[in-house]
Amino acid sequence: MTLVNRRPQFESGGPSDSDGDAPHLVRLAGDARGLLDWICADPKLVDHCASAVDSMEVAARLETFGLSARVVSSKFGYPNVFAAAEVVFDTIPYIDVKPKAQPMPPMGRPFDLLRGALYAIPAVFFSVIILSFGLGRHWWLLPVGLTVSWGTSQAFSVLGWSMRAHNDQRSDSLLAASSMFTTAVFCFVAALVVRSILGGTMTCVAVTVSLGVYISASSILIFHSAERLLILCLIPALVGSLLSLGVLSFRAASWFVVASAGLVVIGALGSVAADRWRRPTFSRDVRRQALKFLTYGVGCGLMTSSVVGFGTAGAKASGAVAIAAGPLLVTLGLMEWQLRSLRSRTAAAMSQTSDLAHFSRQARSALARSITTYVGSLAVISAMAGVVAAVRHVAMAPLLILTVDALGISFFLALIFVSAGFIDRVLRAWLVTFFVMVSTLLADFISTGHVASDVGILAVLLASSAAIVTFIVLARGGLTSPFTYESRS
Amino acid sequence: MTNDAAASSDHESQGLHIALLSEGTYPYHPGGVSVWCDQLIRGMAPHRFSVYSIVALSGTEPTWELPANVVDLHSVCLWGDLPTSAPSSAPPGVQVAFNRLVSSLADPDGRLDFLEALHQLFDLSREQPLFGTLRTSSSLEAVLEVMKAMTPREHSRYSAAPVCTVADARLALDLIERQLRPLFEPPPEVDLCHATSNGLAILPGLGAHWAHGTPLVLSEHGIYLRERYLSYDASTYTFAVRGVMLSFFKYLTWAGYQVAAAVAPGSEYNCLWLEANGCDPERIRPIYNGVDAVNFIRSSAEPDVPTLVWLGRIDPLKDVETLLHTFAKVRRMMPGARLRIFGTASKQNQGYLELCESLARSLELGDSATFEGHVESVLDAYHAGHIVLLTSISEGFPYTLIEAMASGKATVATDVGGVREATGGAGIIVPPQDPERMAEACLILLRDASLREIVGRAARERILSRFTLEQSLAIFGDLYREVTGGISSAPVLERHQIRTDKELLEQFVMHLVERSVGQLDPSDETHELNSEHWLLDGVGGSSP
Repeated sequence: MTLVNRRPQFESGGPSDSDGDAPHLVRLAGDARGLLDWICADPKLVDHCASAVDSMEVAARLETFGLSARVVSSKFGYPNVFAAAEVVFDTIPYIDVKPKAQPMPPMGRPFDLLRGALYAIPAVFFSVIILSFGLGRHWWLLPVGLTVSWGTSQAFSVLGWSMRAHNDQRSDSLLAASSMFTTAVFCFVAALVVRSILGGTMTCVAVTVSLGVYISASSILIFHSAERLLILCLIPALVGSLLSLGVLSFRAASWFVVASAGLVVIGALGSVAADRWRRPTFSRDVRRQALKFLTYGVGCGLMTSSVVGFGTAGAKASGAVAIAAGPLLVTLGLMEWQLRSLRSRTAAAMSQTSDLAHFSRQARSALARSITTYVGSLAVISAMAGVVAAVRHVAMAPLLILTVDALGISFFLALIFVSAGFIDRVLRAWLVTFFVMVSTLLADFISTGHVASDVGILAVLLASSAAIVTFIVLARGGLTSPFTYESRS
Repeated sequence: MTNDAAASSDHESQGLHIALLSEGTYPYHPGGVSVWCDQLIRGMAPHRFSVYSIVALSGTEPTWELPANVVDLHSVCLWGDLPTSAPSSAPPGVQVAFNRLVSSLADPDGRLDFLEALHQLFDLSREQPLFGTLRTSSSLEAVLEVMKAMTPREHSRYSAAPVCTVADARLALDLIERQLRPLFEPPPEVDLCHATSNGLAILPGLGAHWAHGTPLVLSEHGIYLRERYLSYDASTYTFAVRGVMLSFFKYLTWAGYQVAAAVAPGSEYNCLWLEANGCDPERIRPIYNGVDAVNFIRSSAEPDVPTLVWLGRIDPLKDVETLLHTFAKVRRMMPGARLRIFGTASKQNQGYLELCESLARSLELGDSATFEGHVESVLDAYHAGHIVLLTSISEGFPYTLIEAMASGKATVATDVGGVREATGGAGIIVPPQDPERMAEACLILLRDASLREIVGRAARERILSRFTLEQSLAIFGDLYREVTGGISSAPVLERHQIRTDKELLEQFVMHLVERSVGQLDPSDETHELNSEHWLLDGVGGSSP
């Protein structure tokens, strides 16, 4: 049997037979040549030594390759591994060993537009339900369902992200079920209250609850990046809605929509049956954060509801609202696209510059690019919607379109702030927004004894504009800070 | 009787209140250090323990059942939830102290500055919460400056070094901010702090020392700093980040050595690292881990198929890759051989486990190498094989090895840390990361039942006479009394006192030389190194 040594044989100047096994023999000068030859026989060790930050790192590496204190003393004549490491560190030139590439946040892509469509298309399906059950008079169904589920979905997504940060996947199923159950209960209570004020049947309540649960379920699927499953689930509703244009009655088409909603709920609950449940624990900070996001979501819902409410009342038909909401719905995906691109550009800037001022300039430029792209696209699509409204002589259309555009811009800015971690600033902006809106409505009520729908729309426009101005003011120093963005995904 | 003497007497009768400080181990994770903690607490029953455990994420469930004398458990979470937005500026004084701490990292003589800045930050944290307040532009600027200073372009060594980036500084700042969190927790109010390792685990101990004058005992199983050097790998972090973080750990461990009343490495070998990093030799008291002999018995029964056993955490420091390469070589010579790998990977090391499983597949080991996960009885695991392997690249005084030896198993282990002191000749030692040599050693033992019997018997004798739990606990009890002002009475194992069983070892060596080493190729000039690694320096013992 032969033992094969991967190390090079010692040349002259190396340890002699006479001193080979003498652990106490110390030669301070050391056999640098022998030591370096020994190291150079292993490319991995060379890499470690050449990329070391100091000689102690070299010492740690030498030990792991078998050069213990005893061996460096007996074979290479150094008093200890640290002395040998110093020689190696001073001799071997630095080599830059590049770390494994970390995934950078990806740029936005056309698929993000599709994600936006996933939010927008159900509005069409909802119309089928409304027409099917003859609920057109009860405009409050959408606002109540939307406001509640927007809030709860935001709150539960905070809890979900917190669990992900703790590698807790066993609680996912419990969270999904809780999200839908909570939304259903809140929608039920809110719908009962609104029904008692504005009127309606128990069908209205049931539709409101169903809408809320559907939105909650779809947001769970999107949270789990199961957009493709969501698309598959929505196919029956799409087919039913198209058939309702001539082939099927609205009542028959509504069953397709119900089937889709059921599939989405089943999809979201899919993990409930599969996984073992575990009760998650959340710190006080996380619970507080979830509450803030609940407020943020409810705020978004209320703003949207105000447009729906005043718009429907003012135009006496849902056509004006549908045309005005079009540009916002169409550009929902663009918000996602531009947000991703902003993150990606800032991450790239952070990895390329060593100057904080330069980074701030690049972040500002990326921010301007994303906002300009969104606002520009919204303006173009709104102009097209304006033309359609003018051709069809839709009342209040210009004011409604302008209002929805302002709302869209304020939502996009809020999205940027939220993704940057500035939820507190968003809540401050919402506070200003609602102050402006309520003040305007109150002023009209005091002077005329009622609130006119066009004043209501104007109030939303003023409030949204106030939100935009507040966001611009609050952006100072925040959105150009390196702490605002991630350098890797 | 003086007050001190009265207090000491009081402690003797009621037991001390001790804060056991750990990082990433007890009571949340398996592994040698956790075994040691559990043994220590249970073995020191008159004393009461508060366990301060630094963990990566909150919400983790303890995997160890806490003994009755554990009064409470505090978890300090490093990761998880950070304030979501950065403050525009840190509270007065905090920024100055933090910048001083960061600046010291670039100064080769900055250790004292680092310690003083650490102390300042601790004092400030007593006045106001510092959670998340260090993530400011000024902090980031300070880290960037340090990174630039650590890679001077004019220095020939760094002319090729990449320019540090804002992303590097941001990452390093995040890491430092998180690593400092245990310092900002309320310090333990106890009679004594005992840190199970240097590094982050000492931070609550530093706080207790500065706030209440509480003495600190510091155990070093593996060497914390060495293991940081190995884990902050160039393939994971950029040079700039590694430079800052390793300097941080170097100065932090130095600070631990300065404040600790006694430092107890798990082996004699590791003393070198302590001294190299500025620990006063007078404070160093090596204390070996001990085995509870009752739990480990010999068994003459062996499996039918030649079987290698490995037990431990699946972790890069345990070098499972070398284990698999070793087994592949063994299997080439002995196709029916098996390898049974017992142990789990932490969440952080799941990637490493997958890498090892993939390596096993690429080596076409098939069902002959099995990852068997957690094992209820380690004794059963040791007896599941003919020999037990240890492939680590860094160790203190490994339990796997001494438990296997106590079970009467022949072992093949890498020459790291205190392994040589543990085997003392009653086991084969090979260089780390050398599958060739390890496979040769395995084959020798697998082919020779009588040799295994001799080695196993010698190993067990050695453990029972030198490394029992009782001995280890007695020394710690004595150390506790010393540092808290009590009078030491228990005998203390002195350095260089560990010896081998001469008779058994001579028998083993003769056997080995006759059967194996004589077959070495005489033309291979390195056989001298080989025989040195195989036969050990301690043959016959270094008798006093």
